[in-house]
Amino acid sequence: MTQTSSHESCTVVSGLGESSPGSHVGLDILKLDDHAYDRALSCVHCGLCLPVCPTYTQNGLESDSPRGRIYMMKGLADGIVQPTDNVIKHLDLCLDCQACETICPSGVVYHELLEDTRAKLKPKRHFSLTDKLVQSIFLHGFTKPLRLKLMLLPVRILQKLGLWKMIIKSGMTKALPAQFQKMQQMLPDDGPLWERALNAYYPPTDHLRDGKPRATVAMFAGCVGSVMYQDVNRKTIEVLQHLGCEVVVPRKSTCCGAIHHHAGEDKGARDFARQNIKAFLGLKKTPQYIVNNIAGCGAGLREFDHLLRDDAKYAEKAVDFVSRVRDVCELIDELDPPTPSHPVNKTITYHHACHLLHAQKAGDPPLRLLNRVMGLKIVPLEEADFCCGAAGTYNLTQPEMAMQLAERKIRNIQESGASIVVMSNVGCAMQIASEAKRLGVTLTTEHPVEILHRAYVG
Amino acid sequence: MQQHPVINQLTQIVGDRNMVTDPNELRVYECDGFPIAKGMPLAVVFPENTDQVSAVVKALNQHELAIVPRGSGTGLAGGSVVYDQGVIICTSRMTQIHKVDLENRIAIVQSGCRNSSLSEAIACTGLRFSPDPSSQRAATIGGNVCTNAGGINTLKHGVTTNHILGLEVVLPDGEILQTRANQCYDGIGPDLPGLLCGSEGILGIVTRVWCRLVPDPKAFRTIYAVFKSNFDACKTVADVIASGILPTSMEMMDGQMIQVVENAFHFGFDTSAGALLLIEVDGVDEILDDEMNVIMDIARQNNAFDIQSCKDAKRRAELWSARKKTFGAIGRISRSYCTMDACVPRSMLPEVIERVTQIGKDHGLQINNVFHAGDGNIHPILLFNEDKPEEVQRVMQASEVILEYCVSVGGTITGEHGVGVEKLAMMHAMFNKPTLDMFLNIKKTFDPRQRFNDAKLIPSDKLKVELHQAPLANVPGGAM
Repeated sequence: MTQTSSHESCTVVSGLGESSPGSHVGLDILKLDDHAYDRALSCVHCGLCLPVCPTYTQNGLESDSPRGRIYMMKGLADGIVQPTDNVIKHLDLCLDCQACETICPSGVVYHELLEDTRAKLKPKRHFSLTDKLVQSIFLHGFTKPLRLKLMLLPVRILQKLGLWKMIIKSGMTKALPAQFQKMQQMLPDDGPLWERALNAYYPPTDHLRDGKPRATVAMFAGCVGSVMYQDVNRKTIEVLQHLGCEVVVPRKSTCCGAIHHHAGEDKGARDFARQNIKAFLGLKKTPQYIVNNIAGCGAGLREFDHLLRDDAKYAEKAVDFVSRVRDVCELIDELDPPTPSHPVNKTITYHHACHLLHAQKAGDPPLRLLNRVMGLKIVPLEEADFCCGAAGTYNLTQPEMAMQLAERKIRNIQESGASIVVMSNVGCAMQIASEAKRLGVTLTTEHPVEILHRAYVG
Repeated sequence: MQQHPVINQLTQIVGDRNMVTDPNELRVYECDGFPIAKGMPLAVVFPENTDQVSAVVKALNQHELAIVPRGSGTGLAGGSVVYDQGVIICTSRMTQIHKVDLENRIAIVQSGCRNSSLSEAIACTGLRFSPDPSSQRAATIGGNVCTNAGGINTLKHGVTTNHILGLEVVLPDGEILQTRANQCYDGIGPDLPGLLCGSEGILGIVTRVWCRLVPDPKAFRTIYAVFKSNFDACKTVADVIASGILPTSMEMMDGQMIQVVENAFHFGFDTSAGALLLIEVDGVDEILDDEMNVIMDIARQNNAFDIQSCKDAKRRAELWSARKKTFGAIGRISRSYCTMDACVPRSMLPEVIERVTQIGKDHGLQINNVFHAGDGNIHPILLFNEDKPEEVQRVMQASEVILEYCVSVGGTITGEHGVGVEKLAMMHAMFNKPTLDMFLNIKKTFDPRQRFNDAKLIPSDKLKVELHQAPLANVPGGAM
């Protein structure tokens, strides 16, 4: 208690609290990166981030709001908050969707603070065997397309034989830990046994400029994306070919490292970043653009300059790399494309992927392009800019909150009146589709490129 | 550490999931939007309905604990900080909109419902809840009631008290007060909602609010006028009001702020300008052009060198976004800044702004101005370097001189941010002893034991909170 003196009736207290740094000698202090700590200081505590935070609006806890989390992280760094299970629970529950950064009037770069804190906390934490196993699958399985294809193969075979449904129905999967059940639930019902790799080169097919390609574009196919959503990659390439671009696919490109970075494994993330920089900037002809169609990967690619800022050999290259990165819709929009000639007679609604809207600040191009498609009716979606709960691997690590957010998203989609929801991120698509299936709601997810492909290529 | 016996009792009332008691988790509740004032709570309770609030208050009274209500914690005067190891009752899980009655234009909401949530829920009806503080997306309606929140619309459409038809309040003894049993205005007896509105949570905790809904204006005109000097812009404001026209809002930005905003957001403002006025009129389309022309003439007479008008929604949104982003932009040029909040008579604005600038110069400080000129609500922003204690002292001195000056010309110590703990000491400059005694008597009538958010708004004879030597750093713009 901060009582300084007490008279017969009037108590005098200090109104400034007792939380001066260093006043709790002997307690743990989490040493944050100076740059990240500085981010915490620029929060002026206005609270404008509260209503845009999915977790705060879901449970009303200050400690599950961006402002509260910043305060806790600063407290950890100052030694006035201890990394107890309760505190870590709130930091784990953050989706890192970055909606708070879009609204923040003071320009706080929240995600850098969060990611640094998570990385620094990791060695101090104890994880269960299941958690370790799941994380290992993410870090070492998902990020390597070959391993992912091998892991998927038995399931795909069972699917083709019609046995997979029986296994699910039998309830055998219920014995699995929650994270594995969720993985099973998210898996699309159908897919090729063995996804083929992309070609190394695709020439332009139309809209050439003076007989030459309008741009040289290097395609970033992604790790999970190239196994689960290769079709979207193909359509991305075909639309770009149609618009006069030549497209190259570097053989040595690898995962963007976002899974590692978000799991506090910065060393792994930096290794991926360097390998990608080598793969893309080392091409015979340096590509003008590095295009991707998964918002989460795009945001990861655009973090390279931050990740490698202290790497003497790569810092400058990383800045160059990042300057070339574009989301596919952002790139098409930049190419100033003609009005598409094929009508697409559908009613859709559009969900903003957080990592495109908030992290990459490229939320407008997809809607701008879709609005030009003849016959396409776009109906508004309430809370279109709210996270659906996918958030990378969040739906596997925080299934309860992820489920609540998905239900909220699906309710809004139903109220929009559209049965097709379009979004620029495979993670959102898997989350929304699988949760809709669980809830018995009929809806289809599509990538904007799928619609643009029909509109441009036919 | 031994757990306080009240914790068990509270848990029985609201359940485990509606309690926070771990000191590490409680840390985030030690301050609100005025992060200078800090106090650690013993616990935070999240009731879900009025009965739970009442039971919680009664339980806390049994243990003679201090109680502080809190909504979203966006207040800018430390009003929801708890001292004396008390307990915070937070309304963030009382967010329901119970009923929207379009025919009678009333919405009944729980006090933790956010201001914008109500507006969004009724957006398609052509009605709205008028109070619009800049924090409206985050701030709760209960909090709006407690601070009698204003906003950009205030000039024409009034503050929160003008839009409240009834209140349900849990009193400091735990009993439930309800003003007006039905949904009609009755005008019977003392105006209790009037008394409770703006009482900063010292008379009880608001649990339900009957909100008046008003039609959205059918049409509007937005006028943007650029001047060489602050004086000319302020004179325009005074002249417009004197002409008999009542705009919805009249917002002013000085030359330095124009540069800051333009550099940060590139709206296309003339950075050589000395001041900029943003004026809006709304209402019936047919009369708006006449009003607009009168305002533009007045601006011209006061040497405005660039006057534009628009009725285009997109440009209008851009212009207002420029205004709303100003405070964020300051954060980009100076991490430490102190936003003051005072009201002065509109007719005095030209002199006041010149005097404020002079006070800044006398103290060696840069002062920027962006404010609700229409209602004389000024927000001088004092920029400083937090690492220089001597400069911080100068900021504190300058802000005191400014507030005293504002009171001396017939103004007030706060226009909209409230008193909380921040300006408690200034209450003596504002009111004489008999008035302050009467305030305290009212407080004691509601709360004889003085445990309900005591030592906020009204100087208490039981608890004194000292904020001396507090650097007024990093105080955000809030509802400007």
